[in-house]
Order: sequence, then structure tokens, then C-alpha cells
Amino acid sequence: MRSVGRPRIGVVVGLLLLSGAVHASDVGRCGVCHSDIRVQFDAGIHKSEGFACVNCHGGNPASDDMKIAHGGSFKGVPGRREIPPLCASCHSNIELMKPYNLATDQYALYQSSQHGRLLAQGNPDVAVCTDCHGTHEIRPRSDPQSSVNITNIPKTCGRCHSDAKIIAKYKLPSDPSAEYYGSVHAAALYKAGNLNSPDCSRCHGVHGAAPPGVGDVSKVCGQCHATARRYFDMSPHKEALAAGGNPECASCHSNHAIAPADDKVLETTCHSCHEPGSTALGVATQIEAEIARARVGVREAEKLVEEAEEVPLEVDDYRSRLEDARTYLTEALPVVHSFSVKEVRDVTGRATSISEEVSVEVQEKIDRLRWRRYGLIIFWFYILVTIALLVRWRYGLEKSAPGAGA
Amino acid sequence: MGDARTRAGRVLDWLEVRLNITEIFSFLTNFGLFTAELDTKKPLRSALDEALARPMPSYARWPRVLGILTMLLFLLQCLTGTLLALYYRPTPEAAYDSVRMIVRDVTLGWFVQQVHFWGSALLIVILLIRLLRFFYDAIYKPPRELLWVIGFLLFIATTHADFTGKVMTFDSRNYWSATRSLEIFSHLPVVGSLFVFLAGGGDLSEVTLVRFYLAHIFILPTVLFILFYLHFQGVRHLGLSHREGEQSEGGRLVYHRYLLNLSILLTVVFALLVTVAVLLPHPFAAPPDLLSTPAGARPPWYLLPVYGFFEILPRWVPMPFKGSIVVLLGVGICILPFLDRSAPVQPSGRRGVIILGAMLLLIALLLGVYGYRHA
Ligand code: HEM
Repeated sequence: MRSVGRPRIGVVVGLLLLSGAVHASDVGRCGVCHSDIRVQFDAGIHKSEGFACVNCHGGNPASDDMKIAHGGSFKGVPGRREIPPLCASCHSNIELMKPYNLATDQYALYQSSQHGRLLAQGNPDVAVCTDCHGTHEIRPRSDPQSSVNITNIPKTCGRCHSDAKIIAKYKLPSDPSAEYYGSVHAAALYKAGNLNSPDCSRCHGVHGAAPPGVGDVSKVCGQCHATARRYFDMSPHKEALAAGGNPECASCHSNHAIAPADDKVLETTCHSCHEPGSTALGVATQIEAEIARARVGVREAEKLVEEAEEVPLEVDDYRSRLEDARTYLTEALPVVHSFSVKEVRDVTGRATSISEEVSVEVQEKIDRLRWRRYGLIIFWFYILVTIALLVRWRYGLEKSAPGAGA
Repeated sequence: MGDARTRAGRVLDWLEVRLNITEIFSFLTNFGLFTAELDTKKPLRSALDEALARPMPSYARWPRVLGILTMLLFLLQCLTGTLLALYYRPTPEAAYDSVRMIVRDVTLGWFVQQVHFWGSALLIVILLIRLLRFFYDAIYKPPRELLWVIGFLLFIATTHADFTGKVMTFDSRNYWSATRSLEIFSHLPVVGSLFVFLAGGGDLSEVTLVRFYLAHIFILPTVLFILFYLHFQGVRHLGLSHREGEQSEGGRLVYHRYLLNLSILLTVVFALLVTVAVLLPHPFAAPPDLLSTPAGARPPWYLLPVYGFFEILPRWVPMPFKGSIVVLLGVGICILPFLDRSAPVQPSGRRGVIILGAMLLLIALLLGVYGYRHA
């Protein structure tokens, strides 16, 4: 034991000396024995803010005699229910938090959350501050290694919410993290690196974590998908879904495992409520056809432009016009939520007319290249005439020369 | 007609008082148009009459037209190349855009560029065919050793012009093709390493582009010009070679026939060049992507046999060894006249040498195909 402990102590003492005497007195001598914890603490944000062990654990940091160090105000390991008020003793202090521009209502929000409420009832399963933020090695949210960095949140929440043993006791979805990882939001976050894509907390709240109620889902989604929401509010679905007590967005898109919004959403989801042969399904098919037609048109125009570019012909103008057409295609997707063929056609029609114009103009440009070939025919006509004349001359020469042709 | 002739004659007379036109014409004959020496002290017309009165070998035979054809194709390259150089900008940032401007925005720029491209390929092919004919007809036996050496150097210098020209385009296909070629060069001892050194290293940088540009529009054309001069000077000096049973004829008729043959061939070649340039425009790829090699980025065709040779031998054969064989073979071909010292005989008498040559050619072709498949 001692032979293992000694080098570590040496390292820590070395570190202490190196890191300068400035913090030495603040941090104290706890690390002499608790060297592993000391290493974790040093990696966290609290260390650099002059925070020390004694602030949470009490005791006398000046002594390395265990009895003296663990005497007096010593608290040891705080119990789970003590943790939120302990953190809040600083984090709800406006004066202390001001320089960091950190919110101070987190404790209040926590107490209003399902986590906080159940904790107050003595529930041992719910999350307290340290479950998400860590204990000694607390890193800021901006640090990619932090357990509360946006990229790590689904894993952090999933530690409990995707743990079958814990979640079986509650009426909650069984594995939301796995569902999230398969969703379009996760693809945007992890594959495209879009940090604006929502993690768990974006919809459920951070410290005031609560499931959005049935009526709230569209409010949450609408924060980002504002246009989709506007068109949805105009649509007949709005009242119909509310009347049936169904969630607005999630009825078609599900909640955590949200699939990309391609044409297939219409194909697969409408059937679950609408009878085959109904007008509603007719509208869905028509909308789908509108979008597909516009998309095919744009794609064909793009292919033609690529072909022209290889010649090469000047196509910069066509490229930027097709960029506009692409934008209209993207705009058409939220408009689908109006479930009105006319509204959709208003937008896809613009994409179609641009791509048709571009196709015609580029095709004309390519066709004009044919003149090069027609020119070739005329060219060969003159070449053949020239060759014929030359050959005649050449062999005439031979004949007229007496005794030639040996 | 008669009127025009006398007018032209009067202009010539006027000039002849002031310049030695015969001297100038005599200098031009060093580039293959006319292969007899002129008496430069006489006025042009009488000097020509005198030269044409001498009997000449019946040099209106077709293969002999190839010589002047290479010279004319070289001049065509200079003409089209000068037009291209008016718009070309030799920096890595601007090269691609300037070539795209030439082929896209400049009136008939595409045509000039295609003719320059196909003219280059044709020139190399004809130089190669000419070497084969020299070999077949043993036009390297004394006193024509230097004609062969210079002919070989012409071929090598022209491939260099082709190579540097393609790098200048700086599109992705040529960029990667050149990068791979430089790799092949780097395996050739002495000559290859020297080339890579002159190119400024194994990858294409701004230095490479500027050096290649200088080489392409100045150094190599000058070298080619000097080589052509030496070559045709030698031909004029030695007179045309005779084949067995070939007779001499009256010079005027022979020369007349030669000029007409040349005109016919030239018309056909020019027509083919234009046709290929219009119907088979070589595509102009995207700007180079330094991270991905596009499909079809192979070394140019004249390097494929070398590449095939490197690839077909097992891996354990050391690269320097493979490279040395290629270099030795090249040097051997170059100094062939000093290696094959048998008496100068007609093709029928040198069957052994010809079969050896044909086998080498076949192997080179097969290696080329192999190289193409594996590149
Ligand atoms: C025997 C002589 C020459 C040969 C074999 C030759 C060959 C070539 C080749 C193969 C290219 C690349 C074309 C392409 O891939 O599109 C090229 C490009 C070029 N050459 Fe030459 N060339 C010769 C002489 C010249 C001369 C004398 C000049 C100028 C005075 C010149 C100017 C250019 C220019 C500016 C380019 C770049 C533009 C382009 O890529 O089309 N060339 N040359």
C-alpha cells in the first residue's frame, strides 16, 4: 500500500510546488492523502476559481494529521438530499454568480422539476446535481469532455433513463437515448456537427426538467420549426388532433426517434388514421406528387448544368438560379403541414418553373455546340475537293513527264 | 497569271539587290523543305534552276514526307501555343481558371486548344513512326549515325513538351497524372532524378509550374528548333538515302512531285487534326482536389510501357534495378548506331536485327497495355 501511495504523493507534492504557492494555502493539504480525488478536482472548473475541498466538505485543510483535518466543521460525504442545497449555497447567490453570468434560478427550477419533487419525497432514483455534472471533476458545459456538453447530454440522461432497472418502476419511455441516436436530430448533431440541433434538454428543459404535456409538444417543436407550426395551425389537423387528445407533432413524427422529413412520411403515416380511398389520402398523394415532380425537375436541370460545365460552358448563373430552386424545395416541406395542395403548389411551382427555364436555356447552349459539327461537314467538303485537285495534279505530272514513273 | 508572275519576279529582283535572298532560302532549306545545297552567290532563281537540274534520288517516296511533316506540326504547335500563351497565366491559382477561360470564353479558344493538344499527340506519334522507319531502313549506318541520335532526342524532347504542357492545364486529371508520372521518373536513376530535381521536387508546386511554363514555351521549343536544324542540316549535307534499286531522276520533276505529295498529306493530316479536335474534344476536368485522385488519372501513354514494366516485375525486384534497366535500354536505343556496327545492308540482309527490334516493340506495346490496365 505505502509503496504504491508514495510516488503518488510525490507527484502531488511536485504538482503543488509547481502550481505555485498562490493556491497552495486555498486548496489545503487534503490531497496529501486523497491524491486521486485531488487529480480529478484539478481537472475541473472549480479548481481554477480558487474553490477548495473545505467549501463542501468542511474540516481543517491546514493539517495533515487526520484527526485534526477531519475534526471541527468536517462534514464528510454529503447525503444525496443535501447536495442541491449545498451547490445552491453558491449557485443561487447572485453576487457570487454575477461575474460568470450564470443563472441563479437553477435551484428553484430544480425544485419545480420532477427530479426535485421526487427527491423531496425521499426518492433515491432521481438525479441530483452531481449525477449530471459529476462530483469532483466538474467541467463547464462548453468543454467537449463535460458530461453536460451538448454532445454528451443524451448519454448522461440515458444513464438513468435508458437503464431498464430504474425506468421499469416509472411510466416512462424505456430507452429514449437509443431512440434519439437514431433520429434526424442526432444525425444533424453528430454527423453534420450542427450544435443548434436539439439535445434532450432543449425540449425537456434543463434544471426544470419535465416532460412536455400533450398540448405543449407543438410549442416546443415550434420554437425551431416555426414555419411548419404556422402552417399546421391553419390546417384541419389542428382541431382534429386536439379533439382526439393526440399530440400535435408527435402523432406523425413520434417524439424521440424523429425520422427525416422526406416524402415517405406522407406515405407511411397518413394511413394510420385515414381510410384508403378517402379524400384526405388523395390530398396526401397529390402533395407528394407535387414535391416529387419539383424535385425531379431540379435534379434534371442540375444534371444538365453539370454536363454543360464539362464542355465547358459558362453556367455560374444557372447554378445560382438552381440554388434558389433548391431553397423553394426546402421551403415546401414546412408548407406540407398546411395539408393544402394549393399552398404546396405555390412553392413547388416556383422551383419547377426555375428548373424548367434553366433546362431549356442550358439545352439551347448545348445544342448550339452542334454547329461545330455542321461546320465540320462543310470543312470536309472543301478538304476533299482540295485533295482531289492535288491528286489530279500529282498524277497528271507523272503522265506528262517523258520516261517517268520508274 | 503571267502578269502576276512577272510582278512577283520584279519584287524578287528588287529584294535581291538589297538582301541575299538565296542565302536566306538556303538557311530555310535546313528545315527540310528542300534537300539540296544551293550556290548562295547566285540569284535565287538561277541557283534553284541549277540545283534542280542535278539528278536526285526519287525522293517523292511517301515515308520521306514524314520528316517535313514533323517540322510543320512543330510550327503548328508554336502557332497555336503562342495563341494560347496570350491568355494563359502560369500560377497554381490562376492556371486552371485561365485555361477554362480559353476553352470557354475566348472565341474559338476551344478549337486552338484542342488542335494544340491533338497536334502534340500526332507529333509524338509521327516522330515515333519516323524512328521505326529509320530503324527498318537502317538510316543510322555511317555516315548517318547522328541523324538517328538527333531523331531520338527529338522524340524525347517532344514528349517533354507534351508532359510540361499537360501539367500547365492544372486540372485534376492532368495534375494527378503528372504526380504519378513524377513518381515513375523518381525511380529512374540519373536521368529521372535529374528531371525530378529540375521540376522542383516530387509534388507539383508553384515552382514546378513556373519552371514547366518556362520549359514549355521557351526552353523546349528552342531545343527542338536546334535539333530540327541539326537534323535537316545533316540530311541536306548527306543527301537523301538510297534504297536498293532506286534510281535518280531529273530533279525538277522529283521536287515537284515531292511538293505535291507533301501538300496532299498535309491536307489530310490537317483535316484529321481538325476533325479529331472537334469530334473528340479531350474533356476538361475539375480543378485539382488535393485529397482525392480522380478515376482515369494515368501517366501519359508514352510512359505506360515503363509503368507496366515496373508493375509486372515482382515486388522483391529492387526498384533501382528496374529503373536502371529502363534507363540502359533508352541509352541503348539512343546510341544504336554505335552498337549495331554490321555493314550497311538493306532490310533483307538484317533480318536478325529487325526481328529483335520488332520483338522489343511488341513487348513495349504489351507492357503499355498492362500499364494502362493497372494504372
Ligand atoms: C513541340 C511543341 C509543343 C508541344 C508538344 C506542346 C504540347 C502541349 C500540350 C500537350 C499541352 C496541354 C494541352 C491540354 O492538355 O489541354 C500544351 C499546353 C500549352 N502549350 Fe504547348 N506544346 C508545344 C509548344 C508550345 C509552344 C511553342 C507554346 C507557346 C509559345 C505553347 C504554349 C502552351 C500553352 C500556353 C499551354 C497551356 C494552355 C492549355 O493547357 O491549353 N506550347 N502544350
